Amino acid sequence: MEQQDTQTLHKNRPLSPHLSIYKLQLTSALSILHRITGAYLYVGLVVLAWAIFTLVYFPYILEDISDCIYNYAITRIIFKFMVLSWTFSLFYHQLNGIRHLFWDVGKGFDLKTTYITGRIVVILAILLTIACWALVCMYQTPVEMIIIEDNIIADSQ
Amino acid sequence: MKNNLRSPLAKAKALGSAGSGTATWWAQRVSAVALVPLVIWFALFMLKAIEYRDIELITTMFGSPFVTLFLAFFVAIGLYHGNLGMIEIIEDYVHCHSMKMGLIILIRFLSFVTAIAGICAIFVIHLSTFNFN
Repeated sequence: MEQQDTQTLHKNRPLSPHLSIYKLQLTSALSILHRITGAYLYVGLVVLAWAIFTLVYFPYILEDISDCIYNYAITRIIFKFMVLSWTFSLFYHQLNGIRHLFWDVGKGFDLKTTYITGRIVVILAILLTIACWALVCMYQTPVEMIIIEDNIIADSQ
Repeated sequence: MKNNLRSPLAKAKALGSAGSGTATWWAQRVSAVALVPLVIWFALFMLKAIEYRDIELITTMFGSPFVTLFLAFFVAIGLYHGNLGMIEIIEDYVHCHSMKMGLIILIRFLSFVTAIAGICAIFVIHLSTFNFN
């Protein structure tokens, strides 16, 4: 009887890092974000590889999928949000990974430097994401406007 | 005190108490270093592809062996690095042993199959840019 009690006690005792009782700080938040973005990047890379595979061997299936996504406003917005967050994840994981590599060689460990580099990484990742998508929007607008103009000309004739 | 109790052979092997060494840790760092330039190249490649828009134009980019190899490397090393990372996450958060082993096998299988499928497809696009008469 006593043995059973100690067993349940052992099962229910809290595990070592006690994540739930700590206040979330910048350092721990960025560390968790590094893992989340890493997992998200893995999923995105698997999707990208299979998308290239489908493009080569079953192009009609890829066309059907892109039609499905672009026919509805909700799926379109979800898809765009996923690509946007994947871009941010790529830049964040890249920059924070470089920060981790510096830690691995024993540099930048003191608290002040850690906080400064943490802030730099987040700001740079956001700026790079914005810059990339601004470029993409710049590439896309002229072509779309030409198509719309062509349609207007074709309609009027 | 503790250090004195370790045998000279254990010190020379430098494997620590786990006994199995730091191979995974090293593999993760080395692939991370390789991915630093590859990710920069991939971002520029995607921007160029989006600028071209047309699939025929994008295919002409694969006429270059460097574009083909870099994209193949990005997919392969990225999946390898992601494979190690996902296994680390599973080992940390999944406590049920059979579930943990099942998930790790699944991730390993998925990474391996995806890498082969992706690299094959990239080289098929590369070959399609040649003129076989």
